Amino acid sequence: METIPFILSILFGAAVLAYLVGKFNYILKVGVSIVGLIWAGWLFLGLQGTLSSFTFKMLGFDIIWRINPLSWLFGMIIFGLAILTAIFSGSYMKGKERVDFYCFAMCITVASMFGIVVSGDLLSFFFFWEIMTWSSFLMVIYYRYEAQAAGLRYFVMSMIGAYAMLTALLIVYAQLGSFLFDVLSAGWSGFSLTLQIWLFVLFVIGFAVKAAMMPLHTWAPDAYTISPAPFTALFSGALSKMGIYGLALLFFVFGAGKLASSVITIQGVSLPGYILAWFGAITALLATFKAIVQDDAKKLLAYSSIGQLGYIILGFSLSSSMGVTAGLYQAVNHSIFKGMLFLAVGAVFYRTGTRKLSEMGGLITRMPYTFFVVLLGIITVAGMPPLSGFTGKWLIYEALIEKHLIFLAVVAFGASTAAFLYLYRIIFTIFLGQRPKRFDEVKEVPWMMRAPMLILALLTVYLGFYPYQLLDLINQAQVYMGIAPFDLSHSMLFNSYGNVSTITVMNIVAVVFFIVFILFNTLYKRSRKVGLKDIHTSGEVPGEEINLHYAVDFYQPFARGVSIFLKRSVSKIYASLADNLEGLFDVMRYVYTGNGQTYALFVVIALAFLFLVKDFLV
Amino acid sequence: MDILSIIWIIVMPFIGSLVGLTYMGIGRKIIARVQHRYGPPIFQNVVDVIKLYSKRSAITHGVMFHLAPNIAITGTISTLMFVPVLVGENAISLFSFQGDLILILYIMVFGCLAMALGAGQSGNPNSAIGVSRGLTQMFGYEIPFVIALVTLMVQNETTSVQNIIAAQDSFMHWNIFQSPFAFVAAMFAFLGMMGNKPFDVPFAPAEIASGPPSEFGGKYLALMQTNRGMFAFVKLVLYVDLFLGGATNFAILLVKTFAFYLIPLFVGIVNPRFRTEQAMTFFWKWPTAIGLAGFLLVLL
Amino acid sequence: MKEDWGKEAGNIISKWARKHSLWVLAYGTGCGAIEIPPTMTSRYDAERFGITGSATPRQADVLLITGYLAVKTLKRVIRTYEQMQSPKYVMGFGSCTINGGMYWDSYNTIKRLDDYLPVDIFINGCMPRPEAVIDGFIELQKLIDAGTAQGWVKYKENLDTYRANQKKVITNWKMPDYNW
Repeated sequence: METIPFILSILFGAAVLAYLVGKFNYILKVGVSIVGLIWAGWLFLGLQGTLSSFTFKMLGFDIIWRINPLSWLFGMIIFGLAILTAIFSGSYMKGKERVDFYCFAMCITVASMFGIVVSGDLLSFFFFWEIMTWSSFLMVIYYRYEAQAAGLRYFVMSMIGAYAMLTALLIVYAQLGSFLFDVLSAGWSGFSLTLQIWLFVLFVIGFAVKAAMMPLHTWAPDAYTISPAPFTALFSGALSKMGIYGLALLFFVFGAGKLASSVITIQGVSLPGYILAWFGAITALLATFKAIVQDDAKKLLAYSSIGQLGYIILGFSLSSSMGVTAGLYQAVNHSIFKGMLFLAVGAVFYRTGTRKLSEMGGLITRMPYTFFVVLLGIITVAGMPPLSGFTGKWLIYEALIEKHLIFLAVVAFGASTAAFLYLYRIIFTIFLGQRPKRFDEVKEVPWMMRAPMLILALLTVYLGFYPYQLLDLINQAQVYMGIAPFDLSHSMLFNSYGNVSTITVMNIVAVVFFIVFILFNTLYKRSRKVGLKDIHTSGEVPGEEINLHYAVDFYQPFARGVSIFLKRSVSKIYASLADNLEGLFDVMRYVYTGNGQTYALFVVIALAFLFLVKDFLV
Repeated sequence: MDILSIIWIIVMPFIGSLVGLTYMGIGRKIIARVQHRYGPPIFQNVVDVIKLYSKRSAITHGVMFHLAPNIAITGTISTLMFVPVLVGENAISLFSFQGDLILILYIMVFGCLAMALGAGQSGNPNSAIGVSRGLTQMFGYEIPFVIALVTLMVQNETTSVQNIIAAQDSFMHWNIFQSPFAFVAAMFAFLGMMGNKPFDVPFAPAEIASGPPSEFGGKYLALMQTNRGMFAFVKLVLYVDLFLGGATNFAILLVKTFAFYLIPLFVGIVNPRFRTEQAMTFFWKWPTAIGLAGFLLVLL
Repeated sequence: MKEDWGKEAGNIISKWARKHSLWVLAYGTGCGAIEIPPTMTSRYDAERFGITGSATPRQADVLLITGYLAVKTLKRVIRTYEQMQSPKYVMGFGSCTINGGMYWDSYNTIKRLDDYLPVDIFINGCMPRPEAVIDGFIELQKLIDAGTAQGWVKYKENLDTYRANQKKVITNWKMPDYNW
């Protein structure tokens, strides 16, 4: 049997089987989904470097499922993260209700995402896209009533994206008579400029909703917050990447990149790309501001995720070799670190039962592994060497500076610096400082939850030391996309502007730390460990019941300083729009009188109207 | 790699911290003279550090508290390794050919993050308040700083510090004259970076008990003070490299870095302290405007 | 032999450094606190001897007790002293710390500070002027040089005695017990 349909059938089969056997045994249903995912992932791994494809006809349309370096890269993100989150949820979901339903939706989501990346035509692409929206919607509303509002918002925003995409899809079919990517890619340049811009905008809306680009991001914070933690990791790490994959397709496979030659270019970037780059940069900055003032750990990470995706969009929209490398690298890297952080926050929630940053504190001694994971995670998000985040940051800045896009570079730099604020907050308020008395008995999470986090954490260390294997895979994808590959011949990050040897950086940091650590710890006696309440409080003895943890309004001065940005919210604009539309619909409601004769009159009027204008329509 | 450069790699951190601490001592002396005092000896900060190293006992609040000064000084030494100290015939370039300005920008923060984590684990609310203020202020001054650096990088079409120095081959080609707006913006950022008087709200001793280091004592504080001296040196050398065309020998390096050290010092002597959000928004007004003016100059 | 030489050199250096760098934690609850600002500022400038103020007990070397101590404040002083890192020195400032001074028959102040904390040096006077304070610091430097400013060792060795004395006056002793 062909591999691609086989993988799809494994995934769908695992979903159904997990649901069916889930009625009987907990281990069985989780086991079925994990085994199914690992089997599918293993088969998928074997597809690397091959260009296998599978063609069939459905309802008279040609359908192609194929694999190529680009889709392999994104498929690897999906499977890697899906397997780890499935293992994590094996322990996390224990004792929760409707786990069979959870496993079902999880497998379906993975299957549909896999379907998206292997689709070679718009029809199956859209088909899988909708399955993905539906199945992830089921996950968002897992906690039924409290998730209603978030679920509805996610659904409505997804619908907007889906309709935009559907319109674009139908326009393409009307013009070319085929849904195939290859036909579209050949025929794109034949479209008129107006049509190209329309298609571009419609597709961007469709993809940007999933990639949570501002101002289409309003669903993301709530949906990320409310969905079960392991799924949030998949949601942010892999599902939102489908929007990025869509943008990659749009720019380099559909041929929207060719738009560049026909319209104005600004410093070597096409105008649509330039505008999209600004959207990405503004998303990165404003989402970061929003993240800084959140009190809910997952919401904070959700805004952070939106901001990081802004970086990826920024990279892609430059359409240069460096920019695309940066976008793809950051896409992979974002899956790793955001998966890690969401899982870690989920682990903390699993043990403490709260997501409120202001209620936690001092968990480092209770949950050291989780702390370690979060520590590596925040270093990666911040883009600090020697971990893997730095390579992504370096690529993006080089891409921007290479194109002399100074304003964009400053906004991107600013967003990255602002990220330190919320990153410090999340690690400090959860793990450091004073521990509230009720968390004294908190234990570390089981190994089944620790292992996935630690694997991701070690991956960031490895990529920080040696990102060139991943860059090589990205280069293959870039060759497929028709973009000059990134220069890897120097075995360091190298371009005409500058170079960084990640191996040297890692070695220096490791050796210096080793020497300092050894000297510091051998020259002195062990220090005396004192309790957390033994601190300088002007001589006063803080009682047991007094909480000295500084976690509420952590960045109050910052919030005062940037209140002008925080006051306005896209959600509010949408809400006022909805209010106004409600008035309009209230008026329109009078059309429906409930009287059969009036309706008959409407029908006659409409027919007469159509008859009158029929010559103009065709 | 020859034996001389290995020796420099080992010796440079010590020289750096010694020079930085001595500058601080001279700074204390100058402040004293402005206030009609005699002032401490110029090696006072070195003496302080030796005393702290000779403390007999130390307390720790946990793993991060213990590791924080270690990691901080690791970050600073690593930064130093990528900054070319001397150029020309007797060049001391350390590892600066294997990293560029973007790396320096990011690796500089590595130590600060470790310090913040250590301060966090001390459990003292004053430390956390100090870190919160420090990060907020950092976000303020990074904007003009980044504007200045991006201007330099775009103008010289390179991100490598070595190449930026190479472009400033003669006196009139120094970036201080080539891109004066960027220089002014970067200088404002430098005031915030050095944490001298108008921008010392993260460490306000009388208000939040010296902020982040308030729980550190003995050997930990000693390591932190060493780190502080070295970090000041690294920043000064970086600024000299970027704006004054680097230095060809140690005498010139000392003159140039000391000139840069005096600027935040003199500003600090005559100014009171900004509040946190004032400090942050201050950087977004004139310094950013000047930096953006420099941008437009580059674009035209 | 060689080890001894290294130890000796280390001793000399650390003595010299301790002597010339005294970070003072001024516990200014007594009236004597008013004499500290002129001592530190332009008129008398104690900084030229390496004497500076420090913000927290963790960083401080000298605990300066400026005048009388009420029983309530004594509790805080003890905690502050115990949070300091050794070697640490205590300086009694003014007559009140020596024999109670004008508070000798007060019902809620302590008379002799030396009973509760190991005082290395007293400065007599009510108030001692800044010159006297600086003179006291110079004397302390001499004691450090001579190796006789060993109050912190004394405290460690006679902890039980000191603790008994402290608990005698402080009735609501709710502090975590001292762990060296």
